[in-house]
Amino acid sequence: MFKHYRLRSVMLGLGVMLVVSQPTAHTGASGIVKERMDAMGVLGDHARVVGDMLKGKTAFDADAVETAAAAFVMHGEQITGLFPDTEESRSGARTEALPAIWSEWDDFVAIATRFTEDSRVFANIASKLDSGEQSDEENSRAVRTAFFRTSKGCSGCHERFRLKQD
Amino acid sequence: MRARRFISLLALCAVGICVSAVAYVQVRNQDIEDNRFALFSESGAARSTGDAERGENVARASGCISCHTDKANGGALLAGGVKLESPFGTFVSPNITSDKESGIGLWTVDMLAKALLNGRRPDGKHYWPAFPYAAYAVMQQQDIIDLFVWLQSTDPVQGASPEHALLLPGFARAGLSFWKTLFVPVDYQSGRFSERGEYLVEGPAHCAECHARRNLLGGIPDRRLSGNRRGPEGAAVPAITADALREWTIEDLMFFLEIGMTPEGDFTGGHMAAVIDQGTAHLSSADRQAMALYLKSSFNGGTE
Ligand code: HEC
Ligand code: HEC
Ligand code: HEC
Repeated sequence: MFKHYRLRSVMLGLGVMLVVSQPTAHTGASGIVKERMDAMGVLGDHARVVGDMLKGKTAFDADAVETAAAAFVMHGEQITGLFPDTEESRSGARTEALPAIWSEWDDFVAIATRFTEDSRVFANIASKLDSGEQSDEENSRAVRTAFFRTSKGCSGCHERFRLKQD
Repeated sequence: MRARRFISLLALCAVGICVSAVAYVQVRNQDIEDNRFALFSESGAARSTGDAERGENVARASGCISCHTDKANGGALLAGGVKLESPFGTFVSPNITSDKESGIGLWTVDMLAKALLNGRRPDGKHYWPAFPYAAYAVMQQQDIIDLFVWLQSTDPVQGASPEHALLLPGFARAGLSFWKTLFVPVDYQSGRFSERGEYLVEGPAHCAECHARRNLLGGIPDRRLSGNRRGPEGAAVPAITADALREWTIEDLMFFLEIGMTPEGDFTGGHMAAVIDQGTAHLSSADRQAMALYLKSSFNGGTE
């Protein structure tokens, strides 16, 4: 019985390791490139959570929306710092960043700033979801509008400054 | 001496065969085009008046706006000037505003229909297929009439686009008859596209122009959406057959076509972001659903 239990946890552990070590887009990246891919990955995780709610895949969860919006603000403020004009940053292994980031730096900064501002508006709306003044449906609609606006920063920046590989 | 005569005779024959082949292809292509235009003119009972609002929707779905508006450089709506890199050189989209000199302000609906369905200029010459008429050949009469009314209602903008900078000789345009018989599907208007989603995806929304393999002639031999390793600007475009999209739900696809988010929470970039931002994001949710249903169906590349 005991042995059986051990075997199960070993198998579970192996399973977790397999999942964790699954190759992702940023296998092979290091240094600043890895750092910003990880940051972007966090943005993606939060976006997925909110997106799944809006698609009706998961139930509406005000706390999760608030966490996501806060993460957008925090990372938004840090984005430009993750793209220094260095050799490693421009052409490190696996990077999908386009040279236009540095040749059109002002535009890049403008999109990041706009994204952060929109994220603040989103965070402000998210902080009021729990007040009980609105129905879930109204909340969901408000989140949808704010999230869509914020997401223009994600897609707008990727449209001009990132070229996805594989 | 006799050998020389024999060789000249042979050369003469070869030239003769070439000339008749060219003539045949031209006649055959002309037939196809006439037929397509006749079907267009006859379809629908009477020519109804167009609806500009619907027309704008057609323009969105068809990508006219993203290809004819130089958004990156702050260009005016439909004023052209977008550079399209290709292995054959750089094409520049023309001004299609309602301006009477630089745009298409003097065009008739039949001129627009011939351009879209047959890739024919008003002067009878061919358009280059960088203008994706191979996909528009299926467009329905009402859509073209609505599109026409909307185009004529947009602000006129003066100024022609720069010329194309092509690696091909100018006379290659004349050879496009041959290209058209090979790569513009013939059986379009015959009701093959009865379902809304299939019509949009395979027709006006021209997803295959980027998501399908091209051959050395720049044609799309089978219009399967099985991806293209060398898409626009040489970048790879992923496969979007039902099989490639098996992890995506209908909701995922609808959401993607609305805001560009993948099921993982990543946001698409490059050309696809423009297709969505200036195109599918503005369609009705029913249209996005129709497209998603078709993409997930076994008609899209098969699932066996
Ligand atoms: C100001 C520009 C900018 C904004 C805003 C932005 N991104 Fe990115 N993102 C990039 C760039 C550039 C890359 C490519 C980085 C690299 O490969 O070096 C990237 C990469 C990514 C990746 C891939 C990471 C990996 O593992 O390879 C994801 C996921 C992502 N972004 C999600 C998001 C989401 C979600 C948002 C909005 C909530 C967002 N991004 C906003 C510029 C931006
Ligand atoms: C992929 C880019 C692309 C898309 C999408 C596109 N066009 Fe074009 N279009 C072009 C190019 C390039 C030309 C020039 C072709 C040539 O010179 O042979 C052109 C030519 C034209 C012309 C001829 C203009 C003239 O002065 O002769 C018209 C009209 C036109 N397009 C309308 C449209 C409409 C309407 C749509 C949407 C249904 C559309 N286009 C979608 C690229 C595009
Ligand atoms: C102008 C070229 C172009 C056209 C037209 C186009 N696409 Fe795309 N599409 C792309 C590119 C490039 C990508 C990859 C972009 C990226 O991920 O950064 C893509 C990605 C996608 C993806 C995501 C696939 C994945 O596995 O991540 C889907 C779904 C998609 N397109 C659907 C469509 C549909 C449906 C249409 C027709 C309405 C269409 N596309 C028309 C260029 C195009």
